[in-house]
Amino acid sequence: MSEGTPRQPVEEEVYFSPCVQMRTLLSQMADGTLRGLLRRYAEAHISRCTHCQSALRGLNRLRERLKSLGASPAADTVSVPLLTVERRATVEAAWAQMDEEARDSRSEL
Amino acid sequence: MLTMEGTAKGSGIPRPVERKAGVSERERFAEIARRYEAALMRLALRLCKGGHDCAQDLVQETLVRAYEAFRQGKYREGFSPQAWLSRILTNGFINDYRRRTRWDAGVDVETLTAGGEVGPPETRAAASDVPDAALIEGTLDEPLERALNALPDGLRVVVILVDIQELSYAEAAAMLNIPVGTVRSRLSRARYMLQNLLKDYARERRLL
Repeated sequence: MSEGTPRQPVEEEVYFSPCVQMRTLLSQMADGTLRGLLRRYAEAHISRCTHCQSALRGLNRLRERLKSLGASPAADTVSVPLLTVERRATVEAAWAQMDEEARDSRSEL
Repeated sequence: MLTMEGTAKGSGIPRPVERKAGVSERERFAEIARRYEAALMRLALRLCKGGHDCAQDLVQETLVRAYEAFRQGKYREGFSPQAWLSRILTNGFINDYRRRTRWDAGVDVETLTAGGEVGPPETRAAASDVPDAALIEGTLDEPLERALNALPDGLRVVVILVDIQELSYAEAAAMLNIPVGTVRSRLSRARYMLQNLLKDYARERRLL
């Protein structure tokens, strides 16, 4: 498999612009799902291409930021609106109805 | 007896929950619901692009469905309650989304260009176009939340499932009923789109 022709390094304007054939491979490199021959190809290309090196760095940073949206310890302390009183009452009524139906079906047996 | 694990506030470390004698199924479930309600609401708001009514609908429906499943013994002990509830909520969102849109036809994302853009530049949403009301209150990373909300739905949901909820490609594919290869390509497009949206947003902020 050809490694493609790595482009020359350029300024920050194209910082997140990898070689076309590397777009999906870099995305997979960033989340660790790229394996085998394709991974070796990608690694060989990245080692010689500054575009793809910087794109991979950007993707890694993006992944970390996204991950922190869901898993940040501080997220537990950030206030979000909870269910309204009316909706909570609706939920609890639905739970009570389920319990009642279960009791009724047991008593019929 | 240990029944299920939770996450100690702020630590990210699984925390066992003890089954208390004399506590009904409903009380046990209500305790789980209370503990994870904020996390569910946060996920619902993200899926709904900050729409409060949509998020309230989703969480309400999730807690009713989850209790039904809980009563039927469908909750597996030892499995994270938050992950279990999140999955029910996400499935609810996807099912509702399928009903409301042409999701199955894939029109919303398959018309994207290789660069991940939708339509001509003048019609594309920018991160700064996302109204403040659509942001999750007290968000820790406003630019990223804005960029996420500016993604087309089909791409945004894949990012939420894989990059935020940390599902595998296969799990996301099963949930969305699409091939694993489509998850892979949508993720790639979405991540580059997010990069561009973040870059544009940063540039606009510098110009203000």
